Amino acid sequence: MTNKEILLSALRYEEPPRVPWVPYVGVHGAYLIGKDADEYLKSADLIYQGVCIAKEEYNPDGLPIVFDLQIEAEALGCELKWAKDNPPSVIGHVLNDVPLSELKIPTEKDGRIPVVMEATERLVKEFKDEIALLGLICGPFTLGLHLMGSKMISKMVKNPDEVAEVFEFCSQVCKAMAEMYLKRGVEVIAIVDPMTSQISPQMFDKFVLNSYNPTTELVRQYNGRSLLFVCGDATRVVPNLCKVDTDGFAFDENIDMAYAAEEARKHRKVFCGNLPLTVGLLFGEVEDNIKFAQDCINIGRGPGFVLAPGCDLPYHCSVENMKAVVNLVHQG
Amino acid sequence: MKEALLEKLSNFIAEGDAEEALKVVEEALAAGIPPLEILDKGGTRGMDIVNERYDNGEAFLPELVVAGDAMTEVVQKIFSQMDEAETKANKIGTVVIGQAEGDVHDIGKNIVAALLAVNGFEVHDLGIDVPVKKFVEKAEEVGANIIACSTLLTTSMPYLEDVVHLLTDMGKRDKYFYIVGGGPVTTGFAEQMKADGWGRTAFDAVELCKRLVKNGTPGTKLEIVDSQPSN
Ligand code: B12
Repeated sequence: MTNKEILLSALRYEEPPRVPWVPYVGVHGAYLIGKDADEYLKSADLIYQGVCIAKEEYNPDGLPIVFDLQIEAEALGCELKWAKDNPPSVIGHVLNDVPLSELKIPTEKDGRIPVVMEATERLVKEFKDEIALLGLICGPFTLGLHLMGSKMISKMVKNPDEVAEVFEFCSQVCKAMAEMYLKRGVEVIAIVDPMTSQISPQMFDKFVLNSYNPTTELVRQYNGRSLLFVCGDATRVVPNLCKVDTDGFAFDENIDMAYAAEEARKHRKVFCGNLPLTVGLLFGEVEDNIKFAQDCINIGRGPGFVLAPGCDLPYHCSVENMKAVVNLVHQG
Repeated sequence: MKEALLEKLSNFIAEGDAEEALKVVEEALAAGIPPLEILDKGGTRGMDIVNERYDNGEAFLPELVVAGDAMTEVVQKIFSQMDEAETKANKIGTVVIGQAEGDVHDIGKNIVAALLAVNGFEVHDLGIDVPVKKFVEKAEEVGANIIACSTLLTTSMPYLEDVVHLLTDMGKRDKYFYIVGGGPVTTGFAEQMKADGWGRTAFDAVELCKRLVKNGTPGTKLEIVDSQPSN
């Protein structure tokens, strides 16, 4: 089996011959090629180089093309602030100035989408069937927060209809982005929605659960696989994550792996995680990271499990620590 | 009747129902209950209720935020009933707060700011991604006694320390209480940079500021308020 087949097999909820491994290299790719994050995320050429080096260094089964949750918001008119060692942040929320009815679903020409799509085409061609590429898109909740700012949170209680409209729009944006990746041959779509850890199971069902459906249905039409990435302590919504129409979900160290594995298996859902980022890969020692990875594998081993970091790898993530995990995956 | 009214108020606040809460405040004022008692036994109690629910996982971020909003309206209403002298006499302190440079997370910081404001502090919120210099400049401008800095990003933690350095360099370290908080900020880190206070939650931040203005001396020791020490 090629690396790509190993991952796709797990994403079909099978048990491949070894544990699949997907390091979420985002701005860490910039670090690997000695560039700043801002320059990297604006250049198809640098993204291409960063992902190629990540493939050489970390022997992965799959890699994200870009990990930047601000691409869609930027294309929709939100103002960004750039950083050298992080993805950019949204500092201007477009719905403060423009009504929702005036926003248009982004096209392949807007913002940095052309950059990302150029990198996608080159990487698909380069990697063919060696490893899988993941098209990451900003989830509807997190995109809504970018567009509206944090007043979206109180409006979930005070003005649910308005929020529902924003969700509706954002889920169409997700679908449009997914299609751009899928038609270029990307087989795995990951919807990244970190905000989902901050709401109750009831609110999750009300606003979030079905907002992924337009995207997941499209992914199925293309015979692709879909994942939902959450972040933060989403323990209370784990049962809801199992109801989401994606093939599975990915989570960080704030969720207990044993619990997530148990729930996921009940519903035959794929689950990916959850190597600790800050205390592990960024600042931990090699031995700590081997232990963290071994613990994850021990608990996760079986159908539908993918070993992955909790979230986007920090820019300065230790290459040595990463390689310790790589060794474990390929030899242990 | 008084007890019943105050209980009603606390429940409406905990539910985040500002409209009903304000009606009860009117009723309570008309019934001659002193404004500060309404605030303390009705309002603050309401926030305690939602805090407990949040800790138990029964309430989540949106519930916490709307309760905070309702409380803000109640406080404004009550202060508008008091004359200036009374309001001043009840002001506990002035806080300049902001999210550290490079960091745009603002949900937690907003809650801290809102809770401080409803608990008798005058709050100046500098927003997100605030340059180190700005904290001190604003504190000087408004005559604050507390500077509060929040971050959720490990990469912004050095800026927290820079605020202390700047204060020291300017010879103003003994003029302000400096408090820090947010995900990656540990008590150890706060201790090492010689902050005056650390709190885990927004409620802890309120207790912390109260303690500092009551008994503390800036630049002497770290005060810790931690409502969930096991975490
Ligand atoms: C929501 C969220 C976002 C939203 C933020 C929206 C907004 N308007 O705030 C978005 C999607 C934009 C976002 C972006 C990013 N995020 Co983010 N995010 C989160 C998440 C899921 C929840 C944060 C939150 O709002 N919690 C709820 C509030 C109520 O809690 P709180 O902020 O902790 O505040 C409480 C206490 O800390 C305390 N407190 C806070 N401040 C202060 C101050 C004082 C003085 C005191 C006493 C107390 C105190 O009181 C508050 C209330 O009780 C966390 C996950 C987590 N575990 O927290 C990640 C998290 C904070 N993000 C993280 C990261 C890495 C990022 C990004 C870099 C991601 C990326 N690769 O693009 C960007 C950074 C952008 C930037 N430059 O700032 C990491 C940080 C890791 C680290 N240690 O450095 C986390 C921990 C996720 C993870 N596991 O990796 N994020």
